[in-house]
Amino acid sequence: MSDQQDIPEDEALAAEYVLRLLDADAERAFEARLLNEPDLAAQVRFWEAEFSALAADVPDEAPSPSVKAKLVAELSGEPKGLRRGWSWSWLAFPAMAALAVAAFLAFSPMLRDPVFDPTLHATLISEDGTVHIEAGYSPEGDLFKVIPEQGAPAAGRDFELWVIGADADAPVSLGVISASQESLFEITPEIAALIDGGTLAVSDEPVGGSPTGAPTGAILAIDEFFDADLFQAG
Amino acid sequence: MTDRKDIEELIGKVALGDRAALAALYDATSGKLFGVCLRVLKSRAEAEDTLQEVYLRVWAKADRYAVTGHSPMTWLITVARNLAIDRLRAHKSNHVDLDSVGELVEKRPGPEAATIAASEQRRISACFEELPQDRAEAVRAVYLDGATYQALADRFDVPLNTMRTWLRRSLISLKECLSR
Repeated sequence: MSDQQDIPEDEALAAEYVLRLLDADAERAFEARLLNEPDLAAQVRFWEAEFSALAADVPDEAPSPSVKAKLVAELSGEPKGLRRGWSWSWLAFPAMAALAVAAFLAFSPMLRDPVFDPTLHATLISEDGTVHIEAGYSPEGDLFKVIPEQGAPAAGRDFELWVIGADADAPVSLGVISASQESLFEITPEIAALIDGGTLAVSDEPVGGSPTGAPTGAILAIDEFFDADLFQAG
Repeated sequence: MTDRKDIEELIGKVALGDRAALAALYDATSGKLFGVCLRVLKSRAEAEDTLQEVYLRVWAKADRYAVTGHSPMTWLITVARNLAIDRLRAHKSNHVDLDSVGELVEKRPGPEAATIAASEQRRISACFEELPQDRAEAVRAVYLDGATYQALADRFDVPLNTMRTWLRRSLISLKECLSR
């Protein structure tokens, strides 16, 4: 941003993005920049806040009561934060969730490169803060990336990742991960289908991974997958 | 009426999975959000489907609200407008009927307007007044009606690139005014 010319250019571009004047390709390109450029993201928030004041000019309208009825019906069929037969009490740690969000914002640029463009993310941070792992999933090629930011398993132990689908009863293993370098691997369509709305977890396992196909050691951290777009678009 | 702090509290409860809080949030804000969706989509059925999507999105994403740094109404309006535009694009492939734009623009604010920070609203309104009237109208049509560059170019009868340059200049003037 050293070139003075860039400044109004990006201001207009951020406004066009918020107004939804960009075509789908330009929107995607802009969103890719947003993840790496906090100044640009701040411009987006500025315009979102300013333009939303225009909605004051829009008269309130009463929707049909059936909308609320359908909404309530839909939600009552879907317990939130409770997964049948799967009782990690992660909701008891809102501070950890806040920390995970902060960590995501700080680390998300590292998840992104030209060939790997994740749409869903999870940030795993252990309760004591010693383990921190970032993960991203890209539906293009069903690629999964893991970046171990901090922490290593004890001698003779491995970290193993698990995905729990929104409606699944049991976790599915993503395998043992390296704690020293990032890894990028393809996952099966069956596992990929669990990610949207699902949860990622890391457990402490014997070398080579759980011998039983289910976590046997301590669950170190857990996070719901979330899409990055809503951070920017509100 | 429900003020900013109440709405923020409701969103906080929704983030913890409180369904009653979502119902209360719906009661407090659906009039405004339905107005926003209807203005973009011009169809009650489409706007109602979108409204449901909006609250399901809010239900799923309430825990991410805080990091946006937005006021609660800004966040809700932004979510509603974006989902309405997504639907508009998916169903109408960018066609926006601008015939009805002018008549609605000057309507007085609805009763829920008080939930939006009054100073912000005065500021953007004042800055719109510094723009030539047709340009201010164009920016409003884009935000409120989801008008595209093509729709504006047709309406103002200028080439697409001219329209784009025009609007971008207006946005930069607007930014300059808002930052004063």
